[in-house]
Amino acid sequence: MKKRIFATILAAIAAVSLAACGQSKPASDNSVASTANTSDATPADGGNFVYGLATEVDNFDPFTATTADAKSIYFNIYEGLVKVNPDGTFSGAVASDYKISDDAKTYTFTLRDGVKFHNGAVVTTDDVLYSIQHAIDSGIPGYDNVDSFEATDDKTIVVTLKKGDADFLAIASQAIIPKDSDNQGELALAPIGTGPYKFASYAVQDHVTLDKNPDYWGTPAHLNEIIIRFIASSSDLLVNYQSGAIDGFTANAAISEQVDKNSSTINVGHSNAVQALYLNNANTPFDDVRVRQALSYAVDSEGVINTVDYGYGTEIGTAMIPGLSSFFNDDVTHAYDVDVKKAKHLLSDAGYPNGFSFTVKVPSNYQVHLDSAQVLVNQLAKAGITMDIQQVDWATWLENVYTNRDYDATIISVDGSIASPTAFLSRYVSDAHNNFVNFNSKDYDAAYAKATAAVDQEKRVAGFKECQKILSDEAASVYIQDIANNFVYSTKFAGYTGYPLYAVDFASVYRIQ
Amino acid sequence: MRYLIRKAVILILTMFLISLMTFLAFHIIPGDPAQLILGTSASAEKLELLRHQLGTDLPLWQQYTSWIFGFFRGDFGTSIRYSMPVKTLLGDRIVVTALLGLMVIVLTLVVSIPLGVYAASRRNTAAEQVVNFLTMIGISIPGFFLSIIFMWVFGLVLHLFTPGSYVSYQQDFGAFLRFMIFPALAIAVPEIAILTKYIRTAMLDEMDKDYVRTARGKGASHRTILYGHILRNAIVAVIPLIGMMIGSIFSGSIIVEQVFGVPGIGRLLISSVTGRDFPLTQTLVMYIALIIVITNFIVDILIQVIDPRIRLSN
Repeated sequence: MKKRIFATILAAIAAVSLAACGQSKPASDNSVASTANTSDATPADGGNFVYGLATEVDNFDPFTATTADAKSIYFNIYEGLVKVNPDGTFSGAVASDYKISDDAKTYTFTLRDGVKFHNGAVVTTDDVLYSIQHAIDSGIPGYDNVDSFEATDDKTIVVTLKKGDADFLAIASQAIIPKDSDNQGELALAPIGTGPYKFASYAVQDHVTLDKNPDYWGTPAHLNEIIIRFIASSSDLLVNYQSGAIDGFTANAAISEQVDKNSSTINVGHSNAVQALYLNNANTPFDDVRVRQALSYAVDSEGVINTVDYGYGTEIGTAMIPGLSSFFNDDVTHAYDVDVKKAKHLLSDAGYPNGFSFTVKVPSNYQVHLDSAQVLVNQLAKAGITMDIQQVDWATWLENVYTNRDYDATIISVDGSIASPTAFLSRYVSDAHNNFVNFNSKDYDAAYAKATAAVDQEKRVAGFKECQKILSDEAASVYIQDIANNFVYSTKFAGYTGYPLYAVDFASVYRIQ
Repeated sequence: MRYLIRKAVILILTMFLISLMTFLAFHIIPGDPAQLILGTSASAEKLELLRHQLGTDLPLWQQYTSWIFGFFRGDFGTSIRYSMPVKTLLGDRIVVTALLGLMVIVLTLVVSIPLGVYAASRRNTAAEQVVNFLTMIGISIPGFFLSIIFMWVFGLVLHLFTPGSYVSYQQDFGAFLRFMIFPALAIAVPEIAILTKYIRTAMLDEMDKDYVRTARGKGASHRTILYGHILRNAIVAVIPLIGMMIGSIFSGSIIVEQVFGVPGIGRLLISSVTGRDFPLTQTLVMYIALIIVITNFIVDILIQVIDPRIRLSN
């Protein structure tokens, strides 16, 4: 008995120290992008794929589910009239074709022939009209601009907008669902769409299973079954992956760096969200532009990226994701390259020659933001600024910080609900209901109104770039990065394709023979 | 009989106070379930509508009374987060956690009673020192840390099980047990350590008593004295501890279920609190409290059955 206990303890100690050695591999080999060569692999149809998800998806209703992870899963179940492509453009899905009038006020969609819902029914114009009305009733962003919509024949839907919107295609990617299928939110637990995968089963806190849709109108999925397992935390993802319980997961670099690169393919992607040290522009001392600029000069984004994100993140310098490449204003990315002297100078101009101290409220469920906060504490200290970290749970953050705006500073990643610049920039309009940083600039309001009113693509791009320039000049917040979000999966599989918004496209994944 | 009535009244009062305290605590902490469901892009109207649907816009006293009246009718309400009846959610999970708890209790008793007796019978030897050292370690290691160590050692290094591959007991009971033995062990280790220490101390206390000398004088064997006399008397001092163990098994399972990915009561409790899912949290807390209160009630009675002295003094 005694001997065996000792033997077990010895084994445990040995195992832990071995594990520790395995982890402390130098992080120097940054050429991880893709270790498996997908071109010479033979795709095989069939089989299943177990995907680990560190949050729980408990709602599959595309009109009420709002978490990024829910969206990334139901991307496989539902489709809109149009669907986003991996390069951020849109092409027909439930609609085979669309026409946009010159003033971007009238959108004409032609239904694709023979598209079937997962319940076997063929999609009709009635279903589309119901879905549009449901989106308006549900307050889906962008649908408040719909003036009227009608079916002119049994194949054609015409949507007329109040104001011209060249971005309405992004909004028209909202799910099409069967008529009267979601009057009471029924889709939350029994989703029905037209996508390449259909919902099969769901066990609370355990898993959800998707089956291949054999009647899919487009290129059918390769894998027969997708099992999405809910894992308690992102660090447990790693253990589950190493044990073989899951075949793949999505995580930030701190976790994806630890997998065995010989048996894994890492698809480096963006989280498509703006991570920043958000400052409450209504509170002293952050109501003074010089203080905000001083913080921007004191913070070294590259340092944060290298420390917490293993160098994978992308510097932004503005409230726009690089994924929306045509709108992204890269002129301001380096507007505040680290300059402690300048920061100190600005601080003394603002009346804080000896610096000041403030509290940052960080949601405790995001390790990456907590880690970033630690790095920022050191960086700001060099400029004489003391930042105290206060951890709050997510529900508290939503209520106190986001809704009541009762905070000085916070670190969070803000995502866009649709692949459009308005999703990222509308919150900085002075009276926007979601302007949680209390940014207030008449110039910005005017620039934003001008940009959204423009129909011509060139003018729109120029307009939204101007908005980002103002945010940068005013240092609305300290913009850090678009955090890398890496899709890691076993080399038994290949084919994964990333998108410029929250989506995990299982239909692209196949098993290698 | 009077004793039983008095105990029953205390039990009901305790449960009422627990429900009130949970309710108040839940409404003091910040967090709005409607906001949590709809996220950061929700409009004010949408939030208002959902709050009305969920009933969270009602005055506090009204929310509490409607919950408690429902509770007595056996209607535990609908989970805010999972949009399912609380009863359905509980039903699947209670079995999982109950089986886990049962495994922990069996493991604890099977290991700690012989170990405690062994340590006491080998007083002042190296063997006793080793047991003492191990129990100290067992008591000091936090459950979550032990879980992580177990996952590494038993799962990734020794390949005795696959972390994250929980199998439902309905699907394959054998595979369920093979997986659950590891979370059960993670919860059991501190319990084993505490119980071993207690049994050893209680045994040592009894060993020097007169009746032991008498028994020995009458020529009873060492084994009979150890198990028939000393252990029987020592166990009286230990039984209240077993009652308290039920409580720590539940709190242990909250963390361990989370780490091992076991869909039981503990994991559900965490997500119900982070999701500000009041009907679910309240029912879970009441349920756990009821089990703990009732076990301690049973333990009280059990002690009297085992030890006539306590029965007589009443």
